[in-house]
Amino acid sequence: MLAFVKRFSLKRTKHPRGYEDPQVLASETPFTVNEIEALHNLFKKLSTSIINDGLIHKEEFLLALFRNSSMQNLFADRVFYMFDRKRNGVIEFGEFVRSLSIFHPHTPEHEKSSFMFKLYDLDGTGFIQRHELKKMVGALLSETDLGLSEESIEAIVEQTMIEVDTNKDGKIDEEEWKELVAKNPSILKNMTLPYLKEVTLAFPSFVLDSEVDD
Amino acid sequence: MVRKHEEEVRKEMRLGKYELGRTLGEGNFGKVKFAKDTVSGQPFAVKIIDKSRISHLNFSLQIKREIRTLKMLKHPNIVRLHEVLASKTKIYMVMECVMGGELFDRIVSKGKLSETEGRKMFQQLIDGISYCHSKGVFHRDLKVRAPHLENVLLDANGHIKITDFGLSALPQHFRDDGLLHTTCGSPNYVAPEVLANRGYDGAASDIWSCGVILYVILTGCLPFDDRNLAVLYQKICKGDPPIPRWLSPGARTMVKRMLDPNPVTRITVTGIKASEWFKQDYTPSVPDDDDDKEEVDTDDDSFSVQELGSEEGKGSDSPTIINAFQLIGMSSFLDLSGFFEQEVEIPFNSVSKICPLLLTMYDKNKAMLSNSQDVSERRIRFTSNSSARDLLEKIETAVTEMGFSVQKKHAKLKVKQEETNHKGQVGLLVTAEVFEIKPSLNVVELRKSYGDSSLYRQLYERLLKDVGTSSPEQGLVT
Repeated sequence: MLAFVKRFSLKRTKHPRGYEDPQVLASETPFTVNEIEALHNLFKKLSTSIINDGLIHKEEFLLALFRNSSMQNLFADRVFYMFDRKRNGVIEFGEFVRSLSIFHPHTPEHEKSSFMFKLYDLDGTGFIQRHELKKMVGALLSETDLGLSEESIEAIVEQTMIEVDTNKDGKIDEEEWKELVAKNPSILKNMTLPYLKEVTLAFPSFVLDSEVDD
Repeated sequence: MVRKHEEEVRKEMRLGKYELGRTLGEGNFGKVKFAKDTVSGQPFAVKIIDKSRISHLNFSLQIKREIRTLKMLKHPNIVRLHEVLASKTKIYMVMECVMGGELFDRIVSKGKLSETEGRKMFQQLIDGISYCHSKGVFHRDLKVRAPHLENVLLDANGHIKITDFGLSALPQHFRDDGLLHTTCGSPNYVAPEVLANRGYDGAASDIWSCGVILYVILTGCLPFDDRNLAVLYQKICKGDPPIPRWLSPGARTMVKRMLDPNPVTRITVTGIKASEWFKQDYTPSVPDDDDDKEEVDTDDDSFSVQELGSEEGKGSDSPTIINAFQLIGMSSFLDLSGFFEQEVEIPFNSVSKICPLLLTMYDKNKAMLSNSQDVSERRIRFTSNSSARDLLEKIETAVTEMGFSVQKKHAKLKVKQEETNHKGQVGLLVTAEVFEIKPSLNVVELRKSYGDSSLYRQLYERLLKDVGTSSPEQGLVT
């Protein structure tokens, strides 16, 4: 059967470490094989912007998102950490696709919610503790120049803890987090990227070298 | 060959989630087939491009350009591209399916349209074209009748749909003189400056083609026609087609002004939209830019935030008292749109930079503003020391004075300008929301759903001046 399929020059460049077969990735995510090929175009661009090794380094990640490769920010660090599933300091293609898939509009809320909980659980204890919450509020305020006093920050954190920490153990567990998200779906707003429904249009180069069989 | 063909037929029944059906048409590069999304049941038209047929052309740039062009165009009068699929040998462009047929067939079967009906179509055509121009896209190949595929279609409700931007030019086609080069388009509809193969202004030649279409709609005949191509060219370059006396004076002037052989003195989109004849019974189409984002940004989900905790907040003007997690969520570092945004929204700004002719359509300040703007400024926040109630009132007053219509819900305002303004720019839809961080410290968040960037900036600057905290540095753009 393959004999009839017109062959194009299929000499592919050797894929770098961490490359995964789009077929496999498609079976585990809401993306189609073509969408994964399109995401690979994006990945290639991101992973070669500073160091040409087919892996996204922290600097490349920051450059792509914020046009600045040397900035310091708690949330940026956390997002990178969450994408770097193997915790080896770089984002491989498979990690990139699997992490982005959480942001797909069709991904169930509970997956988004759980990703965000882990992102906010700075120390990885399984709880969002009061000091972590305070640290994050502080980071946000320094980012935005809101100039709030220490007492105001304390008040905001206190009010939120009262509201969310329903079993009053001084930390937010995943159950309490889920209740909060159910009441305030807008908290997950950052977890959905409508762009992911349009990746084939945003990165159309894949149409020329798609590996999908007819 | 035969065997290969059979195999294609069998395989082409199914394409991902789409079920392929009958052939709707055939173009130079392949077929157009009817397709149904098996999940949603929605109909589509799939343009199938055989890579082997195009491999010898400088096609890769062209196809990518076409896809990127179509991706930007989200307007009710323009056929929408939904998705692109590909295999080793084929490219599939999944387009909006337009069921009503071709404008040409309508004219053939019913003869010319009445002036009222014709004007309605013409208004939609101009809406679609001016939207494209505002995005820096020129069609250059508008016609009612093409050898294989029509490119002005009618949907089931009789609305105009422009399609087939295969030859459309993006700013990359401009040379240093800011004019388009390369000829294209079918002769009957082509503007004289395009025939003469001088560089030309894409906006002006699209107006010419729309003029030909208007002529066809109103009279049922082509304004310039001859079997002999040389004679046809002569007629086109001379302009001045025979205009039937039974057309109303308004329609006659419009046709004449659009078919002015001199592109410099030819009427512009602005001129057309300002004319009394055009304005009669005119309801502008609203672009569906970023309707996907709309789902996320301004749906009822976010409205429900108000209800949180304080039931007494319902129906009053009380703002959302912010939860620490909502506050954290405002961090621009948690927004991954940056991965995708740099690929989008390039053209308008670059047109201003590249094309001096077009620049005259917009004033200089605007062009400078556009250049300095970052794409991710769709969401802007600033703080205010006014009380929430005051704040909402002041915002309402300010935007009303600026000519926007306002819709109010709890601590949220939808601010809208539907009218296309004198520069032919499309409207603006912005949501303004107030969050209380503590008494007498509120964050105002503006979210642009669609519309003109400079108008958005004017709105932001006005609001910052009227209600913002004293120090201007506190305006924060994320």
